[in-house]
Amino acid sequence: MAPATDQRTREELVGYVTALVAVLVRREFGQPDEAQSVVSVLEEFVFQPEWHAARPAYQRYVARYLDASPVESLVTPRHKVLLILFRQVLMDIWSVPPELFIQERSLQRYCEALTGLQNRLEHLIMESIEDSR
Amino acid sequence: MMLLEQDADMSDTSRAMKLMKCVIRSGAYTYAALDDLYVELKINGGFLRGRRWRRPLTNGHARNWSAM
Repeated sequence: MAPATDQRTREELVGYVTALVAVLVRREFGQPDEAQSVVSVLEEFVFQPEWHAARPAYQRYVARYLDASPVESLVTPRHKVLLILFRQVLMDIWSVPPELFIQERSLQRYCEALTGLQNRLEHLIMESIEDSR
Repeated sequence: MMLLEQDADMSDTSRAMKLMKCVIRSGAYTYAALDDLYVELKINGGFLRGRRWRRPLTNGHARNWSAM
């Protein structure tokens, strides 16, 4: 990747992963105050100066999660809206030509690849949440 | 009361540290996979024209991630 693309990809990734951790912590912890307290400390750890540029992406993902409509939540688990946003933003950052997705079912393969990634991420995060209880 | 509050703070810090480690580990894993995905899409011209996108995490990827 070109350095600028690489940097933007990393920032987006940090924001996305941290947001996924935050929403799963809020979902899994019984007490909202307890979850909020842990998430606040996590935000301080993650968004130190060297990763500070990732904070806007994080806030965008959290806002998208909070804005998920009841209809969306019926169709798919609510935290999956993070993946949909991440997929779209990556295509923009990477300047993927739209015509690529017209050919050879590449869009389906792209979505499957990222869905597999999020499933693996969720597994790792849930293990960590269990460990931190 | 003060001691109880301090204990609670330590507990939150300890939990957040564990989650932070998870963010770093998950980020490194995901970055490696995204790097391969990028190669497939942008360089090989699509999934069916190139190799499979997934490959194991290497030390090089971990170094790249920690250098951010």
